[in-house]
Amino acid sequence: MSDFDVLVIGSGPGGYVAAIRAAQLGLKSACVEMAELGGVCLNWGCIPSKALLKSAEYANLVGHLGDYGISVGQVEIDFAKVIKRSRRVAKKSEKGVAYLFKKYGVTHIRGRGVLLGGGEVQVGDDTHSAKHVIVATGARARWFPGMEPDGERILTYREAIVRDVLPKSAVVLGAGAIGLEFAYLWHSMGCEVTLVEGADRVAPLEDAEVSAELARSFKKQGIACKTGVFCESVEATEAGTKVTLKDGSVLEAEVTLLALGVRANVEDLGLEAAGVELDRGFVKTDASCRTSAAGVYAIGDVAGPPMLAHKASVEAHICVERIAGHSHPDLAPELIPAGTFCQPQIASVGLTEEQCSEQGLAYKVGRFPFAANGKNRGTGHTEGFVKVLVGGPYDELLGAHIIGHDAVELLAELVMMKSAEVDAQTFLHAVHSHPTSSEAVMEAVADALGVSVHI
Amino acid sequence: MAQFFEMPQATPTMETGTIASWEKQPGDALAPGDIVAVVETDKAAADVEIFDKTTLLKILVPEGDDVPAGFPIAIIGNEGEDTAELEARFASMEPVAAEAAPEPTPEPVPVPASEPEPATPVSAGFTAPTWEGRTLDSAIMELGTFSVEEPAVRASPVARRMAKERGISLQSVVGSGPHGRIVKADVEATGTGARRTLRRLPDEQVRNSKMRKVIASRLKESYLDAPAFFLTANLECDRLVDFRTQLKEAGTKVSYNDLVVKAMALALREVPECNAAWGEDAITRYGGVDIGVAVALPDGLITPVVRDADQKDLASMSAEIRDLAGRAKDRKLDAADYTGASFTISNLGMMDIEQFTAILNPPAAGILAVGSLQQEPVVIEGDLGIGWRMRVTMTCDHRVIDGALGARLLQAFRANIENPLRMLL
Repeated sequence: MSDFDVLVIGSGPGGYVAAIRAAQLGLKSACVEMAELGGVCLNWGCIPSKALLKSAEYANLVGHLGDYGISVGQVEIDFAKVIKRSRRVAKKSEKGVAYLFKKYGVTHIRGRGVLLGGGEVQVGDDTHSAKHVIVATGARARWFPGMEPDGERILTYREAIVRDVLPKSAVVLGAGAIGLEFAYLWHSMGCEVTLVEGADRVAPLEDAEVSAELARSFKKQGIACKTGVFCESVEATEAGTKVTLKDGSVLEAEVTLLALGVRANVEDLGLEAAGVELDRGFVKTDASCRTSAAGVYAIGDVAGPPMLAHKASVEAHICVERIAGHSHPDLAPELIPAGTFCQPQIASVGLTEEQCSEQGLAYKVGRFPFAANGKNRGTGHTEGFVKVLVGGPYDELLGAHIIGHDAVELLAELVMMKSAEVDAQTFLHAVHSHPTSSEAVMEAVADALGVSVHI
Repeated sequence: MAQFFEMPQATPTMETGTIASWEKQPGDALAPGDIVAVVETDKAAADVEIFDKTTLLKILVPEGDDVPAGFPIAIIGNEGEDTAELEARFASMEPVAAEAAPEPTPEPVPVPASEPEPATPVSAGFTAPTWEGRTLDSAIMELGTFSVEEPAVRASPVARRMAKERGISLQSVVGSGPHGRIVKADVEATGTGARRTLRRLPDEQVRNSKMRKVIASRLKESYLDAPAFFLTANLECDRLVDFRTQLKEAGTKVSYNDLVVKAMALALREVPECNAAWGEDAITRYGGVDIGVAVALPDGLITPVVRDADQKDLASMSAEIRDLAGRAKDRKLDAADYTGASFTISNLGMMDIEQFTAILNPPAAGILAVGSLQQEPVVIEGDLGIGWRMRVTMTCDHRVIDGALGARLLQAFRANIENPLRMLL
């Protein structure tokens, strides 16, 4: 007789969702966590960074308040207080998970979970058994030879997010979501930032037009961007850090942030003993999140990209619903949206225009700039645009890309459009409120069909 | 004087009716011919008509409630009359099922809308269904409980467009989305023979339609009540096949089922003891041969009745069966069309069922289950040959029909099938 029906290792947005959903479905559920409930997302990533980025946005806005007819006196930024607020926000999220565990009867086991095989998991001196074990241990920052974070001057997001002293200067290596957000945050607070990206453009996974628009905006804001050059080495020096790039140039700054992607937490978990196979550093899983070992599952970052909190949560649902004997559609990677929360924000779902051409798809492009949207002109958020790619005999959404003030929130209806297989004509039957930024979304879809009125 | 307006008896088998909608509101003046409410019964959705000039004072039974025939559903009278006393009486009434519904009578309800009956003080009834010019939704029998249209299908807009363009019925597509929702990939896979993974779907509660409830209660009652036994016969049909071919060549198209109905109708004339129904005090021996013919519907079945099937010539009987079956499928039968069978025939031969047994359709004491007409190896005068054969199984209510009696009926039936010219006599 097992102690639990489902035992989850890790309490991030994959793990805690799996544990709660299992309990909701009537399964006896437990969640093992060695640190804070909520994982990186709630404690060291998504949530506290949103708190910090709001401070950054306000700091930026203060300089422009005159445009809105408001004069302010001397502006001071108390960076320690900015960080402190973000910690309070994170703490609250952690408590939220604890509350939900209690509400749904999930047993919270504190400690490090190690698989022993045969449905047994060791936590400290105790051994727990479960019919189904879900590995949801997430990921951590990665780096390459020639650079080693020291936590003081050479940082990963984990140290950077709690560092309550604003560096005077910083090199940010990597222009993905984490790099872009920290570059924007520090720069907005008054730090001199140089962003370095090995690919030929910032936000290299996004549509090229979005990358170009972001590069333009960052340049205007005063964030230096070096693209198309890889990093050779990072050293700590007397003054701070020295970054040597592959083209021989050298950058010096007080701190250097390694935002070069993440790697799965697969070590010291007993995966080998339990017979769980890996594939390129991630746990190998099938469409139902099953690993090579019977009764062991893996979800979220540890099971491979895209490394996104909402992907982990979706896998939690797929995994647990199927364990409980319910059906759940497979994960559809093309339906997983991505968002970056610097200003302007960027958000996307589906294919980029480059991918459409590479795949030889017939597609139509629809664009609408926020500068042509009344609401955005009123609020002063005229930067950016909505770009949609529609194709096929029914004008389905192939991909959507938004850059602008509320890009990530605005993307939601386009995700729904794609997910529910709503064709462009049907989409346009939905009436959009005036005046809203969502009208720009509608106009972009209309533009793809050649029926936009406002452009 | 204020008085109760009662749930009318719509069909002979109706025990209760559900108020589908109130078409008038309290205070509305009512004139003869006004539709006061729409009521759903076990077989039909029908308009409740008022035949007097009066006023609707109070609604007692809300929409969606089920009450027995004869139970008050509203108070009518002169405008402004006090209804307190009747309301108090109503409050003390229990909606128990009416006395056992009378056996089918030859004169069921339908009262033509154009002929109000001024003689009775207050009268109400179901209008004879008139189908012209009305939408499917409000006119068809049974609507409100189920629909003739394809049941609702969950499908994405793109899947719908694709299916329409390709002429694929969404009913034939297995959906792979949440709750079986049909997405583009499902439509693409349909008809291509591509192997598809069928997913387990969640259990579903399908609300019983009135028809389903009637089937359940009538057949359960019959199954538990009647001591039934079965007689199976294997009929030689070579001549029947020839006979039908000749009729066809002569310009008269009849189905094998028509011939079976005719053969049984004539057999029942020869053995009238089987054209009967059980009663505690007396067995009813029917004077007419009225054959019920089971017709399958997408979500149930109904047995329209061919009256005096023994007296009608083959061609006109065949046309009548076609008409009844067509109207059954369109849900346009009147109550009189499907009640009062003296014997029933159920045929699954066209679906390649070789032989089966049927449950008695009360009150008639016999039902014939007809299997497929098929060629098979037969022994003819010591040699193996090929012959047309058909197996039929008669279910007999032993309270009315004993073994030898039932066998006599099947002998007479066999004689007609094996010597079909008898059916022209």
